[in-house]
Amino acid sequence: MATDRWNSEINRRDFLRAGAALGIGGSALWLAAACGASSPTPVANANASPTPLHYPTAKIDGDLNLFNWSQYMDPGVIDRFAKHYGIKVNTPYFDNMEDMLTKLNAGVSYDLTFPTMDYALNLIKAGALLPIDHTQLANWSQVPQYFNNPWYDPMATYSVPYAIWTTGIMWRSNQVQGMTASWNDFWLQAPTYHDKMFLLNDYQEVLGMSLLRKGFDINSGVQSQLDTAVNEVLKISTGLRGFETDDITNMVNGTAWIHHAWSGDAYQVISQVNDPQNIQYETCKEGVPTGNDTMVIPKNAQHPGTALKFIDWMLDPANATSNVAYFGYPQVTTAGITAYQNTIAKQYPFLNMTLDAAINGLREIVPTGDKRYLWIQEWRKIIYS
Amino acid sequence: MSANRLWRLLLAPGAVWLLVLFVAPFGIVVAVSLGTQDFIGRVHFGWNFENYQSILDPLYYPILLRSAIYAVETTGLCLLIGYPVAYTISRFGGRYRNLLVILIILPWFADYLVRIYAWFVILGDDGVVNGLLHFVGLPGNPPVIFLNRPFAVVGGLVYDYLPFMILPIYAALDRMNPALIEAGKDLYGSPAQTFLHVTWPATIQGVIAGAVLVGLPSVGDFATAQILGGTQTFMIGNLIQDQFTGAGDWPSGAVLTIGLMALLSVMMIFYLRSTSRPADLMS
Repeated sequence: MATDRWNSEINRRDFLRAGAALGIGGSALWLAAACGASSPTPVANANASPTPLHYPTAKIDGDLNLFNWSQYMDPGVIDRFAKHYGIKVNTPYFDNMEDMLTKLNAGVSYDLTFPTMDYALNLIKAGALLPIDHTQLANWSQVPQYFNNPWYDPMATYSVPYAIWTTGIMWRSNQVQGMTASWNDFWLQAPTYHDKMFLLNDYQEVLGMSLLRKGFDINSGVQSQLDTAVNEVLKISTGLRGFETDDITNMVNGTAWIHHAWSGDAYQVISQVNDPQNIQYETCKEGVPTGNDTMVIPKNAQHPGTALKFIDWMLDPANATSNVAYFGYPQVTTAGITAYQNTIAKQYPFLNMTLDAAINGLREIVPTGDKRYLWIQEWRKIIYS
Repeated sequence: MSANRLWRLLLAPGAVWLLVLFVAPFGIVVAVSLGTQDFIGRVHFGWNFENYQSILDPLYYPILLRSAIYAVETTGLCLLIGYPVAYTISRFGGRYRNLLVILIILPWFADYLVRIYAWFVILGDDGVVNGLLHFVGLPGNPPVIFLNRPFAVVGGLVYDYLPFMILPIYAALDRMNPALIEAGKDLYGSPAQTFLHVTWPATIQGVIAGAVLVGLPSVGDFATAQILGGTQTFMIGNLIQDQFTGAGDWPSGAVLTIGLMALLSVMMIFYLRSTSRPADLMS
């Protein structure tokens, strides 16, 4: 029968031969990958300043790959840039800083990305960014004086500031009462509202907040302090609705009544719900994580010229003003900060923040080396429970 | 002999696809599992076999157990729902059998994530089901919390993988000679006895195929748990994903990936051996 012939032809000998071929081929590929990639570009000595690479010139050299948080930039501003220069802008998103770092480390090519100041510091130390020539940016004068030489980027060689933020708690005042402007509010409200409560899916924010509540340093590397902080979070985390960096969607659709949140996202919720008077945001007395993030050009950007043009576009006063109205943060340009003060901060005093407070306030510093390992182990105790 | 060569040539595209999209990436995963990370998380390759010790971390066991339980629940529910559906279509479908089969596959025309998000709308706190429960007077705001619970995750998995259970069973039932059932009745068997002693053994191949096609992907699924789940529904797929995106490390993630593959391969080998011999007897 034909089926017998088919069965007997793909017999054991052939199968073993094919398997061996696949195995040898696979091992060869594996060795090639191991050997080929085992000599990466040398990591810059942490103490020496890295040798600057070639400064890109500001000209359109192709489509833009813009790698950002979701809902963190006015799509109208992006569209106008695309139309003005006749190019396409691709907007892949990341969920948090670690997600961004993972994709960058994997070698994916992006033209522009938005690390927070502590992550920018590490990327600069690792020689992973292209330098930025300020004379190429027509609107560089919009950047406040301090940011010509910020603490994380000497002489602002590699970064342009983007926005400042605070971290606090957002809640629905028509459902939840008795908030006390303290990180303890999560523990206070958990017995009643744990099913409607979310924390940020961000290990720096959650561990930092719990450390602050116990009076410890927000970036503590002391194991006993971290253990205490973790145990406190575990008291409420098993009953939580979830850990989520998208603090807008669940507040808008009514799944969340209390959310660990970033200030601008509170404004976005206010602009999207039918009852904005019921959305409140507080910063906490034990400590307010604050700071700025940055715009940087990764080293393997394929269109750094377009990226520079886009940075210049964002620094333009009209675009900054329009952007602030969308994403609810003070963009760090003279026009952006003024726009924020005159509109959002006036209408919602609880969203008021100043540049000075952001520059000199409480900084979350991403841990590296052994401390990073410690923090990751502690974070896992929370989410793997 | 030329027909045989033709068959081998036709295997070539599939073999190339497998080599490029599975064997090569798998080789890279193995390489990463033996590597280390620098201070910003970039992987440097090496021969660090001690990475494999992390697989013994007791922190992973509850998660693996939970994933196994969800997979078993999903498979069981798919079988309970899928077998009657397949039976009805194959025995009583008549003219509409093909249409009914297409209707079962129809949801897969939409993207995987779209199908999961559809459950958000249905099961959300302000969703369709809760709206209905509120309408009939159930107290509570919302009446029932479906989302971010194990129920939603298992439900999402069942919904997603149900066609994988229905189709193999349908094929097995289709292949079965209907005269066997009549023979059962002729020998004074009740419907239940006929099913148990005639239909079920004849379709066991389809059931096993369906169980494997549903069970194995369910163990490693992460998207359903990530979107529909909460803090208590962390599965092994989310664990591995976390190693690569959240505050994690790539070598650990690679080690876990290989560990999970080894475990599932053992089950696959069991499946392959159990199907190879009965096939000769049943045809």
